[in-house]
Amino acid sequence: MGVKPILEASRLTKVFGRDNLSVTALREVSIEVQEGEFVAIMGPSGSGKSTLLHLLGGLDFASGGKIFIRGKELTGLSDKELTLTRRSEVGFVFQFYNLLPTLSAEENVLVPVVISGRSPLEYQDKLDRLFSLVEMEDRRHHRPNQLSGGEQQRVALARALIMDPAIILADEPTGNLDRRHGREVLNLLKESAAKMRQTIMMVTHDPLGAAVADRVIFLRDGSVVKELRLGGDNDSEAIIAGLKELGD
Amino acid sequence: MVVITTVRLLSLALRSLGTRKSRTALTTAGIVLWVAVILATTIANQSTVYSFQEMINSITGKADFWINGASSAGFSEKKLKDVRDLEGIKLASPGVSRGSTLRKGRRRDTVQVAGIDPVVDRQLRHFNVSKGRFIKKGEFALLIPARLAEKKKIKIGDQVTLESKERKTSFKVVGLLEEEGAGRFMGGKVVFIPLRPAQKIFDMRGKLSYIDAQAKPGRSLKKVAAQLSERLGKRFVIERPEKRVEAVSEMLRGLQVGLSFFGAIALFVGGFLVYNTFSMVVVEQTQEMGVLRSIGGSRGQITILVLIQAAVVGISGSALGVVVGIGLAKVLLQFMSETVQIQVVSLSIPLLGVAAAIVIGIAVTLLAALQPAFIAGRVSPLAAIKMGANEPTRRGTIARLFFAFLGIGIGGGISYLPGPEELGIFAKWAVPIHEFGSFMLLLGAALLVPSLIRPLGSFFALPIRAIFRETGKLAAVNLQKNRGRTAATAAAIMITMAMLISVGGMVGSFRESVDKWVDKSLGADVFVSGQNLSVTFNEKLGAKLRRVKGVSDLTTIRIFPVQLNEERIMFRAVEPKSLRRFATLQFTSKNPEKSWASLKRGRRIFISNVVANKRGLKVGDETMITTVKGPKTFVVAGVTVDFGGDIGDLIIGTRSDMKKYFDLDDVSAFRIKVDKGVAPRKVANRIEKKFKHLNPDVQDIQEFKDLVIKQVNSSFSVFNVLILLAAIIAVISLFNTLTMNILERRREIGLLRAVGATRGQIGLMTMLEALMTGAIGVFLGLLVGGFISSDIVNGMNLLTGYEIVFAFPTEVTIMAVVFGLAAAMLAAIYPAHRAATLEIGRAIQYE
Repeated sequence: MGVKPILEASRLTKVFGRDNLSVTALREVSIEVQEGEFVAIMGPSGSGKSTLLHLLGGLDFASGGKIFIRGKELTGLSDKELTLTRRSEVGFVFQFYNLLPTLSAEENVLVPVVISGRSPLEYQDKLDRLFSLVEMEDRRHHRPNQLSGGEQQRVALARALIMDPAIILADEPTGNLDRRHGREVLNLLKESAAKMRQTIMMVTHDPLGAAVADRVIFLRDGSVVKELRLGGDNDSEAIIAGLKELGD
Repeated sequence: MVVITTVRLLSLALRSLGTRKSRTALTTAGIVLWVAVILATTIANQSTVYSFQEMINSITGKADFWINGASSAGFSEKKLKDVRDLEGIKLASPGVSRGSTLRKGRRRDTVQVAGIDPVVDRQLRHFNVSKGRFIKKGEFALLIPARLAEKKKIKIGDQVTLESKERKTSFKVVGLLEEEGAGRFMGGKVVFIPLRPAQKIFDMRGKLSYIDAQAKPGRSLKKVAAQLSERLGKRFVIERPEKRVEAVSEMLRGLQVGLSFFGAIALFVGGFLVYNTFSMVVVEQTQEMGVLRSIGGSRGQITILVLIQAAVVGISGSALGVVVGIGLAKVLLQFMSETVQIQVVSLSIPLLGVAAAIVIGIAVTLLAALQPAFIAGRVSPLAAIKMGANEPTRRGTIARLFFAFLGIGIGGGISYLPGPEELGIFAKWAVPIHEFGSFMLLLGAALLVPSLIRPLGSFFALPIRAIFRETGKLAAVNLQKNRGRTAATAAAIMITMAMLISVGGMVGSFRESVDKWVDKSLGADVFVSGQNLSVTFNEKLGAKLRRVKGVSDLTTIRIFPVQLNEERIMFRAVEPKSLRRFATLQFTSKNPEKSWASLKRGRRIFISNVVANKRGLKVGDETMITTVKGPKTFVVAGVTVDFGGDIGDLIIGTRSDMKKYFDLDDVSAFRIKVDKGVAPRKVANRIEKKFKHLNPDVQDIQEFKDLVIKQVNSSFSVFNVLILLAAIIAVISLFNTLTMNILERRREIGLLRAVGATRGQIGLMTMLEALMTGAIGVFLGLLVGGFISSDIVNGMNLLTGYEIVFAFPTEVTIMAVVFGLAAAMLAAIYPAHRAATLEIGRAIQYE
């Protein structure tokens, strides 16, 4: 394409433990993601999906290889530099939402703004747009324990989007939701990728969920074994077939 | 930007505190208590000193000098003119002062009678006559403090009798004094009469007890003092009132150092509480902190978040602590009044002390929260997704052990340090040095506790496992699981126990030594004395007492102040021959027989071991005592153990020397032996009845002992209050730790419940864990407390010069053991309930 990828990982390796007790979670994984692309990562348990996501998001350090976000190399950064990168370039959506229980929905969305030292006032318009996007306008002042799982996950998505990150990393965002709410969250992700040209990388077990993505990357034993570009009519079947190949 | 962020973090921190109201309240309560203890001890210290100062000021008025004769028998009135004639003197007010019995109707009370020159004295001292009028020269009239008059139902116009040595004189009450200025003299137990009648009733015609003098403005007091002593000669003692204040401050120093020590311990226990709480905050909020980290919160921000919470709790706790501290100071002062035997009227609140308490409160809170805050900063962003315990690193363990042994080494080393003599220029600091040693020892022991949890936990688990089987086993496993947490709880119990035992040991040892002294050194069955020290009896009363049925033997004592090497000290005049039939004085010097023989030769004294230690005197040393014949040398003939006088600050001489050199012939107290088989109380009753008009204080040996013990107890009562407070702080700390254990193990407890553990089993498991933790703390507290209490007794000997033999406080120890275990169980009730009632589903989902 000639355009520089927004996220690039080359020969990424992660080894847990030492010597005889070491486990290799990722082996020389190389990935490129373009701006506005929605990528799903699939694979059996222990294939290294979450580890890959953690490394790409700067939550953990790689044992080898390189990661670039918007051309900036992540590997070798200090904890502080990594924190600053996470703050501006990465948005996370977790399986268990992980909202701060003491804050309202709106305050939760604003946490990344606050810890960046910016004024929440500057973000009022953005906040309105995000709450409208996630269709939570009337529940902005509710605490997490007053919201359903699906609602909490939508707030978490708004929080991930507030700083206009280069990429959103979602770790099984529908894993803890029922079908209907799961579907809603997936649609929202798809919508934000399309409308806001937001790059998204999502780990999922759900073939139907993965079907909303532009591309699916299959992992097994820490290596990329297959890639699938979607957009056809039989995406779900293709994904299921791919999973079968993995032996899942 | 940093400021803005911090401000925003503040609101996050406040929310966090707000959602955990009960724990925030408990922690704040702990801080309130220890800040209050620190402030209250400061206020109590200062108020006591100020009260003394005020009392002395009220007596002193504008006087720059107190002029006293060498003897309380008084000196010639002619000297007044000498003083007044001096060029540097503006005013000189003569006085006669004696203890006497004030009688109205059938009621008798002992009061101090001050005979004054009504015109001159009013220019020197502040008299506020609230009712009636002032006394006039020569009349038989008296002024009485309104409060005393009210208590004794005395009104203006009443005739009252002043009785002194069998002489009764009637006086008319003409005025009431407010409780200020001269009205506060002798704690308000005073009456003022004109000089001449006073000289008459006390057989002091032509004599004075004292002259108070004021220098002309702008004169050098030093020069005027020199003029005075030149004019009056060496038989006079010219004292600056400030010197008495200094002496009092010196006397109070021991008590103050003791109180400060408790302040430091309170701080230590409080620091533990804060540390425990914030460790708990970090455990509870690990996941939230992980979320913050994953969305870009820096380590510093997380650390600051915890520190802000600490600061909020610290500031509010300290501010509240000031309020509570002022209240607590009032309570402490009640006890201190008993201890130092002075009515502390007004609270003196030092602004600097308040500021210091607040600063210390906040600083210690922040300091104690520092480690948990840094641990919070190190929380991995991955903690947002999964929980991971922060195990202490090996380097941390090595550092901890290093400081533990350093503390124990310093503490133990200091306890073997020599006494003040050997300390040389550091002698003044002997007691603070020893207290610092005790503190270091406690600190070292506390740091060592985590390493002792494994062996001690296994040991105490044996009976628990034997009795409670599987539940006991689970409790024992849990105990070992988070050693850091168990250690923090055990250490809190250890410190409280150590304090209980050390104070118990201190009081018990003191009491036992005094008891022994009373038995051996007094050797009398009945004691007859005046109601206060300045009341004396005619020597001839002795012969009359001998004739009372049941009295077999008698000896006399006269106690009066003298100047020894220019310092005030009590002189106890005894009759060696008869005294030896009564008592076996305990000598610390060699060869008592030789000492007695020497004493009889005259101008010889025995000194108490307190005097020997404090003033560095020994047998054979010459001392200079101001007598009516001028300064004379008296040789130290022996050193004895003595708890009498101004906390043991006294010397013993013969009655014949007293008559010769101090012109006295009266008696302060009679010691009486009764016939064999006769109950001392019976004889005491007879004496009371027969000599009712003299209003004597008659006690049998048991009453006397009880009184002494009561005094010892009340001297230490202030410490009991402080221990109680420290114990409360420790219980809160315990409660926090146990609750924290439950929080940390929610998932595990949920699992146990899911696989069939009953609520009762879970509750019991928690209680057993607390019991074992308590047992570890109690055991270590016994060891450390025993050591420290023997060291405190040592320190007390250094400070006071007493020779107190350490006695292990068995009773207190048993009480402390019961308390320690009970407190551990008590603090576990709520956490156990919480553990037992956890919702299984939610607990399992906790991750």
